[in-house]
Amino acid sequence: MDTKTISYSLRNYKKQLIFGPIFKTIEVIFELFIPLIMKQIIDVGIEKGQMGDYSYIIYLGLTILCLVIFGFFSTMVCQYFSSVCSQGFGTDLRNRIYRKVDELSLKELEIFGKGNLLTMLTNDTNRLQVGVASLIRLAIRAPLLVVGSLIMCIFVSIKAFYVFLVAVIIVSIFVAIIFILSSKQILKVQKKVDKIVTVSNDDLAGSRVIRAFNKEEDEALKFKKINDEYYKEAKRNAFLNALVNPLTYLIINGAAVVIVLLAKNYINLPDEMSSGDLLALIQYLNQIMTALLVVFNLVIVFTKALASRKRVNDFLTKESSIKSGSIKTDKFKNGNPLITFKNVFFRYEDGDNYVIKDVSFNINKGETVGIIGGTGSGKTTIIKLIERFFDSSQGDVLFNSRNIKEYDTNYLTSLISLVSQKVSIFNGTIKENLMMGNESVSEKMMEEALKEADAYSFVFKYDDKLEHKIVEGGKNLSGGQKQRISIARALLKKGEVLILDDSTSALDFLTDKKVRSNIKKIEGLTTIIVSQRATSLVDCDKIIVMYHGGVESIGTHEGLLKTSKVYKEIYTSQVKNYE
Amino acid sequence: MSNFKFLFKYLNKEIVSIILCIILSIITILCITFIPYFIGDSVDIISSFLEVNNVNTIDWNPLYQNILIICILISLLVIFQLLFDTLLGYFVERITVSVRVDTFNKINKVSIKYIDEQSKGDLISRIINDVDNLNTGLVSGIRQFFSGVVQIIATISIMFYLNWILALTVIVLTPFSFLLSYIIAKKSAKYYKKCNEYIGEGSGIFLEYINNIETIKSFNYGPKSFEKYEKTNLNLYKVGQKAQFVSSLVNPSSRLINNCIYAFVGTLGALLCVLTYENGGNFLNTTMSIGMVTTFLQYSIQYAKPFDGITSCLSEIQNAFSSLTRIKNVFLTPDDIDEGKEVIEGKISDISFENLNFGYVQNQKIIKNFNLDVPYGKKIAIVGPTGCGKTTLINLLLRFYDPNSGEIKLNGVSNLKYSKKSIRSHFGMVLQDTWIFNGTVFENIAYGKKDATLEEVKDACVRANCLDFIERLGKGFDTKIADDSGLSAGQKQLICIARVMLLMPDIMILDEATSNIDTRTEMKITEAFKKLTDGKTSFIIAHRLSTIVSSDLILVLKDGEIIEMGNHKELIEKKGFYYDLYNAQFSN
Repeated sequence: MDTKTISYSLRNYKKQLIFGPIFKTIEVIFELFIPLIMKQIIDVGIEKGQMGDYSYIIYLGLTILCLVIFGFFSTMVCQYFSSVCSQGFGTDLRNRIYRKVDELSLKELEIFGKGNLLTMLTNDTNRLQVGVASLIRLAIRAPLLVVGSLIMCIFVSIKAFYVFLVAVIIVSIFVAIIFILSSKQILKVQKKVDKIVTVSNDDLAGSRVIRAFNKEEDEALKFKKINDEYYKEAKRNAFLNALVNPLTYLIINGAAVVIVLLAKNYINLPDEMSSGDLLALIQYLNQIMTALLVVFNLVIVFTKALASRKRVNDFLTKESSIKSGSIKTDKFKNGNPLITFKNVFFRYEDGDNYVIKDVSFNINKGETVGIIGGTGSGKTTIIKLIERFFDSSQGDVLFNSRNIKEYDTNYLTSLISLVSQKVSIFNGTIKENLMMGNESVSEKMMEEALKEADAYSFVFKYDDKLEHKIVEGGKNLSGGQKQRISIARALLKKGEVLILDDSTSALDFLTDKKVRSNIKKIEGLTTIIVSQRATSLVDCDKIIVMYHGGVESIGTHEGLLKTSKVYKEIYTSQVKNYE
Repeated sequence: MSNFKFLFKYLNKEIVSIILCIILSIITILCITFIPYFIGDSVDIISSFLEVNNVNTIDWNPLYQNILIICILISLLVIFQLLFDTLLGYFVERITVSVRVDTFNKINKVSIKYIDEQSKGDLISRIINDVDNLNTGLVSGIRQFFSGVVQIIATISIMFYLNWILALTVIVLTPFSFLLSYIIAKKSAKYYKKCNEYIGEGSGIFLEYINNIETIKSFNYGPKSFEKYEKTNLNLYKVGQKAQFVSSLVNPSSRLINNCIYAFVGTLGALLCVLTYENGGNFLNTTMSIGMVTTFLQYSIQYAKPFDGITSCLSEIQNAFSSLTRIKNVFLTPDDIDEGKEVIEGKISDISFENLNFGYVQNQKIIKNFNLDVPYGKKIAIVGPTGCGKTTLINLLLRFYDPNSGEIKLNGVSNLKYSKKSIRSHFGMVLQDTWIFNGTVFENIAYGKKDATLEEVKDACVRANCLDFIERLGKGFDTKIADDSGLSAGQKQLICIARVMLLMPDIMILDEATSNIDTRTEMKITEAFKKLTDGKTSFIIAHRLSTIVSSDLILVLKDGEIIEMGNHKELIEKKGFYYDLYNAQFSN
């Protein structure tokens, strides 16, 4: 079995997959015999009864009862197997998806999209789970009931068999047509619903603007119009749905009438068809039609499951484009080049344009380097390449003078302490958050790091100090508090490189400065500061100015003021005094 | 207002359709009920033929008559059921649309306060999903209710008419299936509720994981995070397996009961046939024939159907009911009242704040005893740390909120006297959160002016410095845009400025309109602002102090109070809070 596809998640449930349907089959076979026994009661039992022997009828009646009860218990075993298997399958699949996310590089994850991943974890796995359950419980039962009932009809009357066969075929074709039509219609309805969502979204997002422009009534008209369009499509769909029941009824009862007419022809041949036969046939007809409807519903369940299966399989079989290297330990010396970019280009797989072009620079161990530039100038992409979240499209990224690809990815990440642009604070205590990168840190070290990040005073103001609980998304902390805790967390990781990706934006200028000078004091630490504020970078050993994906210039603050047009523009626009 | 009362308002509008549906369903059910009777009768006729020796003496007419009747009944059934289902589908969709439109309009009428307090996703979900659930619930609920009640009454009556003993058997036994299903459904609902809790918990963990994936990866935290998820997932397995097992018993159990009834009716029917025969055609005032057994077997199935149907749609109805409550709750919120009747004549030339006090929550004052007089044409800048009440002033000016005490006077008259519509038509505002709706560039800019010509729009764009980039878009002004259609934050802001530029209102409000925008675009925007506010009263809220130094009056707010006030030069000379704030930005 391929260990990558979803079917691998069924590996522990072979027993249930085989025995579930077998137990189900037992019930179906019992059920198929019931009308035949009933026929026996009518044809033979009544005759015997009229001769004074009631026991035959009662005996047969009890037989049916036994079959029914045994069938029920047999089916219960199947339902149990099915619940264990399908739920277990879903559980395993969810675990695998979760782990796969960690395995894949950001490049692949961005292709799938974060929103889609959650849908995959919840909706797709659920559909697949329902699919597996239906496979065990119904995929055997329903078709078997249809075919079985038809076959049993042969024993009763071959002519009736033909009539039913035709009826089944007509109903199937007819329902299939309606299904195709209505699934198309549902798409049209869904499109209108999507439009309704869009307009509602727009309306809610702009509630202040709409009111400021006094446009409430126009919004109402717009919404009404889309809903009228929706109604038109929904009406068609309602009509298609309305067709199913009556037409199925027409065909079934039509078949029943034909059977009665057939019976008429056999008046002279009691062996051909008896009253009991008629009764049994009508019962089979009922069974066939009920089961047919189940089969159609199954088609829907399986179509949905198949679409989900494709999505999940695509995800699980995706190979990470980032291949781990073998170097797991390395020595670093102050002053040596630590990070080097050699004519690096990068673009996304589906993107036309390079996000960064021909970027070259060198960062030595122990330096503090700033990266500045407008939005979309490629600052964050450089960080992502250093972290090896992506590999460059062209050119080499060197770490400690070796190609970054030679390093074991886990080792590489252990060397880099990142404070990302978007603050990531997790549900849990402050302590748990601080220990994320390094589980062996002592409380003393935590206090130290918190002091360096200027977070000590507010953390130790809480009664429960380090044990203070942070809720999901850090909603009980301010933006600046969150940033300071993430900086402390990164410092505790004790990596070679500390990267601050626009991570002091929520701090006021004074605090920002204080934190930066604390960090600068740390011996031997290489620091990369990405910022939009020129004032945050003035003290850097080196500033890399990015402009439209390329390096515009590299130098110190003073030097750049003279040589770099972009830097000067940024700096003056931020500092310029209009007086 | 109860849920029923709320729903009744809508049902009442469809009363004609509903009555028609009732009539149609009665006819349909009567057809359904009589077909087995005539089939049974035909079986009896055929049985009687079997005892005739000479085929030629048989009178075929009764049989043909029966078949003709059956055919007519089937045709009627098909036509009326089709009419019923179509009509039902149509009027439920109509109700759906009116509930949806009413909810949407209601949301545009309630106070901004209510919208601020609700999550946007939740409100959307009420307009979309909850209304959808209501639709599903109404369709299955009404169908089951209408046809169910009629079917049960019709089947019971005809069964008693035919044979009371068998009728009693069916009536007594069938509810067991209902009872059993009910017990199972209740139990499984309990498990499913737990399931949903764990699914929610798991999604929460996954979202935290995926939203912070960069940090997770850079801290090698994946395996640790997985441990957390695995635990929840295991809990989900435990209850999920039970939920599945229990709920999968519904069908087999009702099958069990129905098949038992089938066995009972068949056996008892056969015995009654014998007894009737032995007693010369009458047993306990009843008769029984083979045809009647056939009929009864079908009735027992028909009688069970509404019970099974109700069980199967029980969860849909429950769902619809809780959705109905959520929709209704929107309507319970009072409309944003506007007691102001007067219309502002001419321009707003003077704005004054007198002893203004305001807080979003009681006991938490954001604005404290605020006093200010703004003569016409002045540029007012408001600065201060976050949460100091800057945006709140705007909310009060535009009457999104009203003050707790004190008043804002426009031309010397309290703004509560003027209608909100009239006040808002004098203000133009550009907010930090740009609003671009799904539509063309033209529609977005011409939003405030219904009959704007392309010339006017273009002119506004020139003044807003955004004509070049618009013309560079694929289809120029006809390009479809949306909030997430790839426009940069700066471009979106420029479009919003053009939108206001087209209207040229008396008073301008710019709320942090240039944060998150790079320096070059900011310069363009600043330039556009200048044109926008030229010769007008304007309020500017800004984070970057460089954008406000040229204002006539700078208000420094802290904790809802004006702590300093003056122009840039004066404030710098004062060496107070503004001085510190200003210098912290530039000092190294």
